[in-house]
Amino acid sequence: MIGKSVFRALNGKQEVVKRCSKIVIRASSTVPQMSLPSSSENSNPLPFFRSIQNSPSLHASNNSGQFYTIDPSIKKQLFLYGGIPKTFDELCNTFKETCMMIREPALEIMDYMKSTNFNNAATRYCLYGKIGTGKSMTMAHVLHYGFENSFVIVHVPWAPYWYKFPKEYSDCPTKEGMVDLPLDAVAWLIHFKNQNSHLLADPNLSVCQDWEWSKREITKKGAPLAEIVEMGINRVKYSTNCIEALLQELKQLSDLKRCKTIVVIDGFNIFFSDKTKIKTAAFEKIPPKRVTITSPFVDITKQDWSNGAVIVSVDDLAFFRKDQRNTHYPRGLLGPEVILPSNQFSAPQIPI
Amino acid sequence: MMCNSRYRLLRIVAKYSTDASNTEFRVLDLRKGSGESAMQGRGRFQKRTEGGPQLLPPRETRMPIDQDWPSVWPGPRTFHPASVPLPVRQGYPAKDLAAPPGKYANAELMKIPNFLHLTPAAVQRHCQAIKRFCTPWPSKLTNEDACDKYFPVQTTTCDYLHSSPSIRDPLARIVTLQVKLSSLPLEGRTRDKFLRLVQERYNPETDMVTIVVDRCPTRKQNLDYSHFLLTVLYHESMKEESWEREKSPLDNELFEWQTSASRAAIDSLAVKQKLDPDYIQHYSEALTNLMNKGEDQETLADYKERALRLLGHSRN
Repeated sequence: MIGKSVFRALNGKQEVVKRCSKIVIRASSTVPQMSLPSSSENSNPLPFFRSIQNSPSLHASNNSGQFYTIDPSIKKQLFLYGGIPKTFDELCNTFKETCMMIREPALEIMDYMKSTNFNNAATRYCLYGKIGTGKSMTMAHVLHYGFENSFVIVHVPWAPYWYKFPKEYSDCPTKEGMVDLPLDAVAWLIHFKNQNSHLLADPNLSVCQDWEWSKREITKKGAPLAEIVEMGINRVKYSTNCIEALLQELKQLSDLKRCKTIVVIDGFNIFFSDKTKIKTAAFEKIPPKRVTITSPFVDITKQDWSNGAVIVSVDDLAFFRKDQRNTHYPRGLLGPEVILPSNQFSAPQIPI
Repeated sequence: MMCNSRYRLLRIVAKYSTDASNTEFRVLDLRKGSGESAMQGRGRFQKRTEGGPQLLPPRETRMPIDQDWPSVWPGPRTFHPASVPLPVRQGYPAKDLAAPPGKYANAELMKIPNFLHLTPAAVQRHCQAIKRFCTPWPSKLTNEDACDKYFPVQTTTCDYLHSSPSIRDPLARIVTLQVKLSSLPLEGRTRDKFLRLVQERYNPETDMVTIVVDRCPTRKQNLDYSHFLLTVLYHESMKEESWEREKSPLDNELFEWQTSASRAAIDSLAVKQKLDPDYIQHYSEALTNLMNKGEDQETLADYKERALRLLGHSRN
C-alpha cells in the first residue's frame, strides 16, 4: 500500500500530510485551515517528490531524492533488451510509468562527466555496493543522460547472462581454444542498434579501416558503422568478429573526436572470474577469458582511448552462487589480477 | 583388634598435661587407667576419648616470629602442617559456601611440591656459599639489549632427575635454540626466503625464531645439529636460485607500487595526458594502502579522492 504524501504549505512552513486510507488534516492554531491541495503557495504543479526535470542533463543536487519519469518511447529505445531490473520493470508496468529516483551516485557521475576534459583518456567509474543498493538503477540513469547528450551507447545490461545462461555456444572457427557465443553476440548487436539508431545515420560514424570477414565479405574503409552492425546481425557466424570490429572502431572514432562513447557494463566482475557454464565441444568448462565475447568488452574499458566514459558495476551476484565472495568492495570482487590503474569509484550504498 | 591395643597404648603413653605453659616438664604417667577409671572393664570396644589422644600443641604455635626459617626447613620436604606457621588453605570445600579445607590432614597440600626450602633468605645463603666459585659478571653486559647484542643465540635445555633405578630421561635430549631475527643480517629477498624456510617457527610479535631439536639421541648431538641448522638457514637464504626470479606479482605478500601493473598503466597514461607527479605519488600511496590494508570505507574513500584529483575531476 503506497501512501501518497501531499504537499501543503502553511504560512511559509511546510508540513507533510500523509494520506493513507483517510485524509488526516493537521490543524494549526495560528493559521486557518486550508483545503488540499493548495497550489497557490508553490509553483511546482507536481507533488514535491516528483521532479519537473525529466531530462538527466538538467538534474542537480537539489533534485536529489525526487522521482523523474522516463518517456515510454525513450524507455523502449534504451531498455528494450535490458537495463532496468526486472522487479522494477514489473512495478513500472503496474503503474504505467517508469519513474526513477534521482540519487547522489548518479548525480555524482553525471557531474564528473560534465566537467571532464574529453581530451584525456576515458575515465572509468566503478559502481559498487551491497545487493539492492541501486547500482543498476544508477547505471540506467546515467545511460539516459548519455543518450540525451548524444553519446554512442555501448551497454551490456547484465554481463553474467552470457556466462550463466548462454543461448548457444560453439567452438570458435578462427581462434584456437576459444568459444563463441554467436546468438548472444547477435542479440547484443540488435540491442546496440536499437539504442543508437538515431546516431548510426550520422555520416561522421564511418569505418576507419577495412574489415575483412571472409574472402568475399569485406567492409571497406569509409563505410558507415551501421554496416558492421548489420553484417553482424545478418551473418551469425561473424557476429562476435563484428562486435570486436565495432568496439575498436568506436574507440578510434572517439579518439578522432568524431563521436563520444559511453560504455556501461553491469556485472563487470564476471569477466575476471574462473568459471562459466560454457563448454567446448569436448565438454570442458572454460573460464570467461576463453570466450570470444569477453575480450572486446574488457578492451574497451582500457585507457587507450579518449572522448568517452566507462561506467562499470561490480556485484557479488554476478558470480555463481558457490563462488560468491561475500564482499561488496570492488577489489575483492575484481580480484588481484585486474589492473587497477585509475579506477574511479562511485559508491551507491544508500539502500533505496 | 590391633588398632584398639595400639590406641590404648597411645592413650597411656600420651597422657601429658595440657598446660598452657609448655616449657614445664611433662610428667610421664604410665599407670593403667589413670584418669580413666570409668573406662575400665569395658572390654574390647573402649570408648574413644573426645577429640582423640591428647597431643602436644603443634610446634607452629610456639615458633618465634624472628626465627631462622632456613634452619626449620633446610631442604625439600613434604608439607608438614604443624611445622609451618601459616594459615594455608587448599582445595575445594565439600559445601559450596564453606571455606577451602585447612592445612591439617590436607592431602592436596601434601601432594603438591612446596618451596618452603627456597625462601629468599635461604637462596641468599646458597648464593653466598657458591659465590666464591663464580667469576664476576661481565662489565659490558649492563642491560638486556647488551645481552642480546653480545649473546644473540639462546639455547635452552632441561634436566630431569629421577629417584628410580634409572636416572636417565629421554626428554633431556631436547634442545631449543632461540634467535632474534633482527640480529641476523637479512633484509628484503633474503629475509623473505628465511621466513619462508622457517615458517611457523617465527613469532612476528617477539621477532624470535625458535628451533626445537630432538632428533638425535644425545643432547650434545642435538646442540650441534641446532647450530648447524641455523648456519644452513642463513646461508640458504643468502643464496639466490634461478627459479626465484619466477616470482610473479601475484605471489607478492604485499602490493608494491614500483613493480605493479598499475604503475605501468599510469606511466603510459602520463605520456598522453598531463599528470602531476605529486598527485601520482599520492595516488600510489592510496592504492598501496588499499591493497595492503584491505578495503574498507576509509581506504576506498581515500583512494577515490586521490584518483579524482589525479585525473583532474572535481565536483561542481
